[in-house]
Amino acid sequence: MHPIDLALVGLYLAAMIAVGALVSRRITGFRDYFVASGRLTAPLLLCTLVSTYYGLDVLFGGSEVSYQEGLVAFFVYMRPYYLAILVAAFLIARKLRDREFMSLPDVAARYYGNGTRVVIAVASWLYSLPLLSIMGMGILLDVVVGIPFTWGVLLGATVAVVYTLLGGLLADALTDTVQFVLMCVTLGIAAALAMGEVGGVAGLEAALPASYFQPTGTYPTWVLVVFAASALSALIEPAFYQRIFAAVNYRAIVVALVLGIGLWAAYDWITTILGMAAAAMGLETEPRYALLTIVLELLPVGLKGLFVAGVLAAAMSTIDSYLLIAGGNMAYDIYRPLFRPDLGDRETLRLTRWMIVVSAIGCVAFALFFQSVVSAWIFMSTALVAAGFVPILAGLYLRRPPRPAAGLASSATGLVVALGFSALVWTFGAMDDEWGTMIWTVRIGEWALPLWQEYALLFALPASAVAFALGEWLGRRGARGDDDGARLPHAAIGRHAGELTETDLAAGGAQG
Amino acid sequence: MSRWEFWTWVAIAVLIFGSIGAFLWFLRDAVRLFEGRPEG
Repeated sequence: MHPIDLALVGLYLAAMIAVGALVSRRITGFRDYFVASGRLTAPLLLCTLVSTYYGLDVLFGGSEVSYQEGLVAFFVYMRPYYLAILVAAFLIARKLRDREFMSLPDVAARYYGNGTRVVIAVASWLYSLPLLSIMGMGILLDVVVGIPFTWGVLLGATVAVVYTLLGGLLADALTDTVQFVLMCVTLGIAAALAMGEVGGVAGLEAALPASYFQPTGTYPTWVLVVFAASALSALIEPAFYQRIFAAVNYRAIVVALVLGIGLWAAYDWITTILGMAAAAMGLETEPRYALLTIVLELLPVGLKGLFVAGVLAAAMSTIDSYLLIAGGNMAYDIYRPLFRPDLGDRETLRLTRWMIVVSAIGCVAFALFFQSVVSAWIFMSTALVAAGFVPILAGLYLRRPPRPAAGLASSATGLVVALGFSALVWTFGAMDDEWGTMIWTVRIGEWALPLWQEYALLFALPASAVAFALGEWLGRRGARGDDDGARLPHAAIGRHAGELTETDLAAGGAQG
Repeated sequence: MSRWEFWTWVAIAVLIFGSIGAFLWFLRDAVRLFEGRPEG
């Protein structure tokens, strides 16, 4: 890369840390740190939601599929999410705003107590480890800047961790605004250049087989069902929930999510088209890096550096947000209710910061250890939906308060079935080169049933629902989170710290 | 112009102008954010 491009990347990294340092002076308590004391306005929510939810998995994963399969990447992988996000905006967000929650497991604690909270916190922690973005960043810095993979992973993760440690969600959201513009604008410019290079969509149609333009591609039906079902994760997404709790009001959430769908759809479509353009240009590359290769080929000096910063931004905006959630899960949702229910505000804040570092170290270790990160990601999102989908939505929507046993049985069964199914496929299955995934073919006489690792959700979600029904039927109506003290420390942390912070910030703002 | 071509240029415009617009909206709103005032 040209020195100007390198300087732009360096400047971007330094600016992110500066924002974290500036915001850190305003952090006074856990609620302030973890949900910004409910101060995020609509534009800030829009920027942070769009950039957080879209990391390198979308950028590289989406273009990987479109490079190989075409428009199916957009219509099957991506489109179901918009419907789920609309449901989240109009049906779930309002329910969540009725009470002062701070995390997804907090919701479980409210309806079922601490047992379910801990199970869902474990699933949320697994889901929140930003493996793909950390690994993708290492590959990007290796391919583009020439920093060895391990050092690239460490450098990128360190910068994201430092400013998140310093400033919590507010620093995360503020850096997300810059990252959001960088990732969107550079991708848009790259797409305009690529369209010129390949002769527009007409050029793509001339160069690519007709199957590239079939919206459902050539996937088996059950795989399409699983892809669509994976969008259910948007209904219990920890980062969405955290931002719903952090929003200044309900209207801000709806505005941000509805506008966000427009930006997500545009981002998805362009990612798809760029992957197809790379295929049309006959670029010899690993499919996952199709987008990176074509863009770096087309962009001039200066814009190339900005694009790399934009891709780093897409990765870092995801890494910082999810590490914050993972740290909060460990400190606030697992350690505190299990071992120190009396943990104070300051101590929770300090412990969360330590747990962010622990989660980051664990994540870097996984990223350096695992070969197939995509497999890990599928497993992680399955674990979240399997453990959390039924109990959380049942808690929010059942007219009669659910029984604590139903929540625990449902979340634990979902998680165990997801883990067990994945372990079976990884143990007895084999990597299928055609589809690029693990498949375990179960043979009974003449009959053969191919079980893809993606099918875990098809077993885990019904198992979770059945376990919930059994828990409702057999469980005792007993103390819920409200009554057994599960929310007492939360209330103490949330309201007390929130009042302090608001006052402090108002004073700070007036002085400024 | 085919419908795919049309939507591609719409998507490019949304990405570039939508994100810049949202950022400018955020800047206009930043004072409110730091003062902790509710949205109007």
